[in-house]
Amino acid sequence: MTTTHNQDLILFEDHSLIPESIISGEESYSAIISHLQGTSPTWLINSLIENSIQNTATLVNNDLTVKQTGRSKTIFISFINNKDYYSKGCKKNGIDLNTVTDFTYIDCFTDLFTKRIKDPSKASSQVTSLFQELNEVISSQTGSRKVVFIEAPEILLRATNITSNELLNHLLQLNKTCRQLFIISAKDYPDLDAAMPEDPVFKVTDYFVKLLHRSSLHISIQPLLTGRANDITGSLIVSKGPISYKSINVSEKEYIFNITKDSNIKLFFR
Amino acid sequence: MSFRKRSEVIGGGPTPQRGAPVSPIPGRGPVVPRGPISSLNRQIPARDAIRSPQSKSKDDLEAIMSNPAVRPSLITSQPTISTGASDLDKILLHQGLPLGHSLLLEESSTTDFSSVVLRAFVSQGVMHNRITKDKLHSHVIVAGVPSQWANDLPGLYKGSSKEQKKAKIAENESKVSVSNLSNRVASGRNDLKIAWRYGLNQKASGEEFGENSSYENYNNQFDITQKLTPGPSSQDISFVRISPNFGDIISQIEGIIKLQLKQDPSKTIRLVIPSLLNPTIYSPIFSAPTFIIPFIHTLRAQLRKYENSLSLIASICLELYPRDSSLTSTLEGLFDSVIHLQPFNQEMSQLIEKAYKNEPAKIQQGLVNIIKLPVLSEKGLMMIHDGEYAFKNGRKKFEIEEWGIPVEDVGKDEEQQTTKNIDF
Repeated sequence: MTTTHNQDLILFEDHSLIPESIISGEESYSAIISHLQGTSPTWLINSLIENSIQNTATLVNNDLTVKQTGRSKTIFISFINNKDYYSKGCKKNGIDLNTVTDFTYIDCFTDLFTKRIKDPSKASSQVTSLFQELNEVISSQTGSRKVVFIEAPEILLRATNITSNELLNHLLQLNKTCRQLFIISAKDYPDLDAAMPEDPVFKVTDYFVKLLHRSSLHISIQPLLTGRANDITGSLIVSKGPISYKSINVSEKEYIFNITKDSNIKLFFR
Repeated sequence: MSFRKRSEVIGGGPTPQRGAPVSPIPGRGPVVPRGPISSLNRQIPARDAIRSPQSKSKDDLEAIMSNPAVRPSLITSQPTISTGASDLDKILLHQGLPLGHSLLLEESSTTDFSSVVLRAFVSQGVMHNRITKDKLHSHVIVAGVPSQWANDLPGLYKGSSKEQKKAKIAENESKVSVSNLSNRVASGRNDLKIAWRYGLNQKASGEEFGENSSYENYNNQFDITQKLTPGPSSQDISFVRISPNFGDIISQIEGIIKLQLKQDPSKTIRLVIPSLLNPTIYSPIFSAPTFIIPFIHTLRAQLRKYENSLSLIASICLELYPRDSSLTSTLEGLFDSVIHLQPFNQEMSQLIEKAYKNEPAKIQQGLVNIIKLPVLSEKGLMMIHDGEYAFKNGRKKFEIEEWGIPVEDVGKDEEQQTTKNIDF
């Protein structure tokens, strides 16, 4: 009789999620968390926020239990959710984001198209000033130990007239302000045959392909290819990007995971 | 020897109520079971939710929970409103659409079943304003369509013709007369004599505390052959015209929301956008991604801003904007829940009609595919259910049930032949 054991989620070979060597290093790296319809990555993001702030990962890794205060300045930028959404979600991880001093939330969701970008058809300068503002907020944080999350920046490609290269350039600038940048993007229906540069499909596909080429880590979350299962939510694939980490290696693995209605997470090797 | 009912606990005394389990651990609240359970149980999370310290604004939450049009979600205890179609409420798993959330109804083919659901959603909002005199509990905002759209709102379902006759008889019997009184006493005694073993009397008393008594005005059943009478007034419903600047539409909608909430902060606001981007209503400029995506994105922001008041249902035709198009996939990302209505093609319809030719009430019209459910999909749960449910749009209601391929009854002639052979 075989028994299956829960596995701890690890992203690097030192059994960590965000290693100390990256946070304390001098290089800037970017990682992509891509997801498909049906498997939202919120649980993973919450765990990464927790790990970034205090080095623990209560729900996905039982070995990371020692809390480390003042580990890094964590900045979260979202284009599709407000702070309340993550504050509620992180309570399950034992963190109250409203009281953590090392956490900064930049809301690019609530008034994105009412105040920040008023004319989406001529948005280039407004997007530039938006990213300048983001860079200023991140730079104003003391120290160099900074981890930045940016969620759904591709909405700018879909909703405005900016090009994929412009957005990638902004993200590159943003990456330089921190040690580790996590870019969370949906990769539904990319079309490599799209040919018109003004077409949002082309822009998003181009953005995604180029982003993959300059990333160091890729975490892909997707539903099971074999279809729906009651006891498995989806699969999570950790793979390294073309730009390697200098100090550490990515632990390339494929997991399958199950999330219950109570937000309990179980991971298994595939 | 004595008779005892099977379900009765030996040892006498009143049977413990399943709805309020006693916690085995001191200091902890009762363990609340999840999922579709007896209506009695549903009261417990409701009251707990009101007192929950997690709520952003306790007073706001308490105010909205006092609205008879609102009940707590079965899963998250968030304030939830009915969509006007009870079966849709069930498959959304919250027993409705949680406030502050949105639903996108996608429809394949050239049919317009989604408008039935949308109109029921509007009718439900209007009906909530008729619960108590001089008190409005709900307001509906319809965007994009002219006011004539609301002329066809479905009216309340009054039962089948048989039931209506029965209701008339019951009404006559309820009138005070000597013969009625004597009949009632006699029948009451018979009930006691015969039914005590089957616990019928207990059932009747249990219903008093059931779902219907707690949230009796939460939802109604609508009949698409009836018109809502009297029709909605300007206090029930507002119409917003679509203009090329999405900022203007948003400010109009927000103006109405603010005005309504100023009158009564416990009001629920139902925003409806029928046939999104349908060329008969929307000009081509509205289909530009620089208009529609910022518009829906800003509506999402409004939903979060008025999380205890506003909810949104929109419908879109997949023949014009297929699911694998960039626009629809972006919209699916921005909406909190997505349901896809997929009417059967002609061959399938013919097969079902053939299979159910003796039972026309069983004929379904299409599949209901669940793509995204409010809150649960966001949490990371895989909620895609393709081809597991089917809908039928009957006079009685918009019914959604589990789908099973009908078995064609072809063996009748063969059976007859067989019996003849056996006789030989």
